[in-house]
Amino acid sequence: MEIKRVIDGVYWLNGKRRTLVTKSAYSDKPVYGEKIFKYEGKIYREWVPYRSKFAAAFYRGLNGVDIRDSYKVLYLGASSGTTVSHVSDIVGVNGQIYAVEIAEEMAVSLVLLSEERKNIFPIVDDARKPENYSSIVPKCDILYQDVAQRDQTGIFIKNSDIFLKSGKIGMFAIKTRSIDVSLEPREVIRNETQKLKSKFDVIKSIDLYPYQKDHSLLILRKK
Amino acid sequence: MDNSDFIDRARHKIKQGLSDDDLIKRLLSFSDSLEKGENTIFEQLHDLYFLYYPEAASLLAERDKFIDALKEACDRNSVSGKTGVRGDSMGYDLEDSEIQLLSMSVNEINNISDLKKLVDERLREIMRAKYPNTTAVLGPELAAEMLSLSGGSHSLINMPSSKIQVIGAEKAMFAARKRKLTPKYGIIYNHAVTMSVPDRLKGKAAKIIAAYASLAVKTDVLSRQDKSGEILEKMSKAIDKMRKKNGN
Repeated sequence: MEIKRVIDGVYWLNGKRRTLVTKSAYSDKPVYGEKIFKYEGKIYREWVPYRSKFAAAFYRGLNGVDIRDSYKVLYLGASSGTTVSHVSDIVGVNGQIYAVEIAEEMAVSLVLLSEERKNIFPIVDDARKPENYSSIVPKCDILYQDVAQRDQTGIFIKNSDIFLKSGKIGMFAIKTRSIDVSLEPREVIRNETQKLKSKFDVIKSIDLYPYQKDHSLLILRKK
Repeated sequence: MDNSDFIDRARHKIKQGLSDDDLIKRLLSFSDSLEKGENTIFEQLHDLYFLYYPEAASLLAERDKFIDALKEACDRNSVSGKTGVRGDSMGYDLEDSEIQLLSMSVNEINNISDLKKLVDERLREIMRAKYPNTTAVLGPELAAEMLSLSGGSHSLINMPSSKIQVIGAEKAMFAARKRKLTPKYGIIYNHAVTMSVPDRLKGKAAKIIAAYASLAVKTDVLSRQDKSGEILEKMSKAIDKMRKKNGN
């Protein structure tokens, strides 16, 4: 088994198959039943592409993104905290993740996770109304959004206006089916990128098939 | 920086966000699952028992009769004593260990049906306490089902009564876009009044019930007063008037 760095905190473990892992910043307990690897005394957690859109993007050829130790991340649509736990590995104990989730039942596991991982700051609120949490969330270095809503582009722009520092990266998981079922996915993404163009440079657009259906991840840089 | 402030705030929000509707929905689906499970276990047990004692099993096809006959003892002697079926069977030989297995399964079915009764009773209590008007108009089971199908009291109060009338008939409703044959009732069909009127008046009755159900839900959610007597009286008047007008 050999290990290959993708970005700090994220690695490929090359065995029989290549496996994406993050170096655990906290305990060696699995968060959602993922595999744990020990390599040269360090603990790595498997990052499953079928569970996480961010991981799927790495499997689909993403090879670098500006996210590193001690970054502040605003994460919209945190759900039960699967991807959040890996982002918390990447930014480390000095980083901060503000994880916004509206559904109470999902937020329960997010809160439980944040009790173990002190760099996760759970917020149970509506991402459509950033003014509700703008007083408690600082300017961030990364905005990650994964909300399957019809107006997801509007939500992204609204939040990036308030929270994202300029020149920093926004990651935007688009679920094309939520926006328009009748249009071709490619068409939907073209329309949505058009809306984003005035405020962002589009660095990359990654189709997440076959790991996630009808999803794409846009990597954007705020102007 | 410490995240405990955020955790406290989130915990508080989650606690506030939990509603009676969620509890009602869960209890209702639990009750449904219990019924399903009970039926499946009974079917399997009945099929199994058929092998050992086909004469008795074919006589005891209904669940209540079957459970009644096998409640105390499952061996052939006592079952044949209770039911009067001939004792020498053409089925497999029944051995002690199998008798134990059978009686345990019968117990299990009994336990599940007791549990279901408990769940239903609790559901009725909650419905009466939280939605007194709606429960009076629709009955606790139907009211709970209405809440769970519509997605909560807050979406129910925003519905016109014509939509409440056809809750549970979504398939027919969408088919009606092509066939121009709109459904007249959804789950309201199971209401005591709709059941009691003749077929040609069922649609009219459903309309009246839906109108008063809509009124009752709004009273429950918005004014939180128990005006069930008043609403029920008005509804029965309306139903009588409808019946008279249509010659029944």
